[in-house]
Amino acid sequence: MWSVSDDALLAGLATGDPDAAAAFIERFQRRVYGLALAIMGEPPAAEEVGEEAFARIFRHASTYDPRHATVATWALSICRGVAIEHLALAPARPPDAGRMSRLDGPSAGPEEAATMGDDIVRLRAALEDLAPEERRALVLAAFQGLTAAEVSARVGVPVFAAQSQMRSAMLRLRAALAREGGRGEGGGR
Amino acid sequence: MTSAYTCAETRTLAPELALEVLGGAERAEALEHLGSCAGCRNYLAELTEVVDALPVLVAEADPPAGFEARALQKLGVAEPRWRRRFSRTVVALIAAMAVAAAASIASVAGVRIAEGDATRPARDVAEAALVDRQGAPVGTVVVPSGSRRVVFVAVDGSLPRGAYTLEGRNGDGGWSRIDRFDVAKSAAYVAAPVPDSSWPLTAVRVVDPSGSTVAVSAVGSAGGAPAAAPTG
Repeated sequence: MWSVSDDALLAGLATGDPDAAAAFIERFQRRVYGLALAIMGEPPAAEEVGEEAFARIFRHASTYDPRHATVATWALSICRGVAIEHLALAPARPPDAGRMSRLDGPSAGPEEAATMGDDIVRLRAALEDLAPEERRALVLAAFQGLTAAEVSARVGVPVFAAQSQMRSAMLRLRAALAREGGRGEGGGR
Repeated sequence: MTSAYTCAETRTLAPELALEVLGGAERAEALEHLGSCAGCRNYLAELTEVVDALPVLVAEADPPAGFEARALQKLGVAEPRWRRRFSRTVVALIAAMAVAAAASIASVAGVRIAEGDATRPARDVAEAALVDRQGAPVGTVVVPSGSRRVVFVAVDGSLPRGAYTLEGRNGDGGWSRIDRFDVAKSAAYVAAPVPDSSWPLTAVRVVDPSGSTVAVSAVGSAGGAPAAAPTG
């Protein structure tokens, strides 16, 4: 079994090494698929997005910079982008309550929290501390790919209000991240 | 040249820029402003950090059976040959890591993935052997040519287990710490940002816990010529 860092594994993936590719997918598939499922809402669509996300990670492995993000953060960011692209091509549909709950759920229980990094716990806590309308605007934009104008139309608030909610939410989460002082979970070395 | 948007207008749109959902004329105007406003670029960078962190909060889920095989097939690589020794790919790993750093990276617009379908960027790296006190190779050092922003080191297992410090030639001609790493098993790999991109980084060395230099590499010399063996 591979015991190398995420960074080294990603580098191996970039070489086209089948072992590295398999190990990379094995290591990240639950996170990638989980994110894809949360955004797409349906297993078939989530699987398609997950596969495409790994293909894109593979193609763009050479653009990864360890100073800017962990491998996990970078890979999930790619997955989010792929999912939003797929959503944009799909017929418009109302947000699904079950899907949104995966993104916007309750606090982690004690056991889950114990396995999470402090930074993630704090970020999740900050997300839960947001006003409901702020959290809704951020989730719709971040995980449904909606612009402020689209959020405005979706929830029935003026565009400037949607913009303000998104900005306020992101600044409060940013403050939580700044308190952490780290670069995020899943450090590669 | 003055952009059409003010700082206030740009910052109003910054969340949507960071989220990569903004398009059309608004995006173009905002990007034009960002090109000439460091303050707004920093503001956008902070919001982008939030955007990048959000997906990590999402719960994991078990993919359906066969997902891994199908994803591998989509990558266009052969079936894995599990449990093959990792050290087989040391050189390839190092080269790939260097390519990773040589490639373009985040832009202020938050577009973090290069467009296009090229599977391999051009390789533009300096590579040199890491040698021990006897001049014997113990690993490889790779630095992306030109940028000097990231250094990659593979140690092949010749060094005793323990904690080591990786140092590089700084701007004053002395040595400064880049990173620390552990040799726990048969090999170690380090991918570390260079603290100051102005360093010439003509050489890097590995220092053991006692402060002794145990290996050195003249990665910055022409052609990546082997370094002189460390003397102390």
